[in-house]
Amino acid sequence: MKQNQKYFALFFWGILCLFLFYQYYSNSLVKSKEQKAISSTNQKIRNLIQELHQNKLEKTDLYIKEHGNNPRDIRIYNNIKNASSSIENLYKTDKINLVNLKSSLTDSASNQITTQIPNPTNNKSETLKDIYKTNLYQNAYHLLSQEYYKINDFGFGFYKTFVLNSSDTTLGFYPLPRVGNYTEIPKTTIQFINQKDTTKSDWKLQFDKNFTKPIIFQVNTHTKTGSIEKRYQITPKENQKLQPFDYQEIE
Amino acid sequence: MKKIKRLLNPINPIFPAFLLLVAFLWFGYSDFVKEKYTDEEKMIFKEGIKFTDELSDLYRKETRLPRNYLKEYIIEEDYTSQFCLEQPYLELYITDRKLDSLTNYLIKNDFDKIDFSAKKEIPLISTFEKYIREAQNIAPLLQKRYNNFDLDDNLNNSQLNQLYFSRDSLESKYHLARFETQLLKMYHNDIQFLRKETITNKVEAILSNYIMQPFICSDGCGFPNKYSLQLTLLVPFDTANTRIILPKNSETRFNEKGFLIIPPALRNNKEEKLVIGVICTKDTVFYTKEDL
Repeated sequence: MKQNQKYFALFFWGILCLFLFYQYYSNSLVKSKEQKAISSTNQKIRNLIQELHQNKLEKTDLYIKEHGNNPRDIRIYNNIKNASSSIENLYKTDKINLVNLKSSLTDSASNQITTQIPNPTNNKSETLKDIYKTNLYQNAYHLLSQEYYKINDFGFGFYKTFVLNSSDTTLGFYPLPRVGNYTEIPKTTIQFINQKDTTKSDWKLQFDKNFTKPIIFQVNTHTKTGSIEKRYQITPKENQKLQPFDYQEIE
Repeated sequence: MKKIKRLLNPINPIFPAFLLLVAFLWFGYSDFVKEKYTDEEKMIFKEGIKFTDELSDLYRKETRLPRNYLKEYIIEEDYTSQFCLEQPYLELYITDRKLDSLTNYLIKNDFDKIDFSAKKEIPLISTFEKYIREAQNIAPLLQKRYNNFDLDDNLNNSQLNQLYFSRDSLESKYHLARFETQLLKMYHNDIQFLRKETITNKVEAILSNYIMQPFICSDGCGFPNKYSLQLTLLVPFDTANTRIILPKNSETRFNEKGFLIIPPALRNNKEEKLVIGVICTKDTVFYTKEDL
């Protein structure tokens, strides 16, 4: 009887150990899968946000270049850019929290950022901390995306067209640094070469009607790789009005 | 006392059998009865789901094309109407509305109805495939996209279910919200792609032939007693949609880049009319001569 009891006892101990081991093993397996899934989803969320935001930044950049010089628009745009780069920095250095976000967002966005949920710093769970961090990150970007509406509505327009009456090339419209959303026109300037004033202008210069010596002017086209210069000469005509294209290209 | 001693004796099978029972009960309780997350922890998940849904909305908002866009921005402007953009824009707008309701339908019917407690496999990939199939039906140009569609790190549907939807249902919902955003991003990128293919590329190809032309403004252009020298951006016509109606002579023509060539004899002839017609599905816009 005693002998049998011993075997029974050993059998139960064995089962108990196996059971505990199995629980421990499967638990850690589940934990690591959970961690993997959450970190993958958080990464994807982050990519989705960045992509959308990048898109908006590019659109705004285009708008600013196109419509140019409104200092208010430029200030808002720069604020958004700075805020987004500091959010990214906070995320990368793992310093994302309410206090830090408040100080790096734009004023109106930082007033709105809020969460009722306490920071799970005391919580052991890495996944929860990860989600909390992602939530703050999302919150910050969503608030930032509202800032875009402060910039004047994106639109693009063309000035009235007119037909140049006296040229081989005929359709024209006023100079713009960019043509709509479509194609980038390099910055171009025009300047006199043999006059007192050789200041560059974006599009317009004046000269005296009664000039006697030939006038040389230069058109500079600034491309990404450098600038191209072309020189032209206007020769005075006696008792005759100058026509729009009364100039010759010179070396 | 002796009885307790005898019970705790490791050789006595009652002691390990009792511990085993306790272990069974404890793990049974924590696996099936006890909730995995406290209320506070649940809030973190719920907030995450809320923000991700908001991100989906942002994608939708960012994609949506305004109905009156052309009326406000293009038709009113003489120049752009020469590209005959009204028809392609209208088509793009209709495609946008269709894809928008397609995503709405899929989210309502496939995602919102999922019951995570049923422990059934969720046909996640087939929802995305449905979207791709339908979208390509709506806009055949999209057949250029989605050759090797990969939803998530090359995992198949059961692997996705294993990884994302096999544990707590709140966790599953958190993951599902992200998949919804991915669906909306596909819609967003499809519209961007179609816009580029049907509108932007065409206009860009024509506009890129621009020239910067200096010209002399003989009445001074606001500066009396002076000549003005101005720089003007000249862009060619979209010759596919443009006809020279007047004057009827063979010397007035478009060159190979699309610029209009007017014979010198006609340049200063005030009698001669210049009429250029743009042939679109609905509108014909005329350009007439204007003196500088």
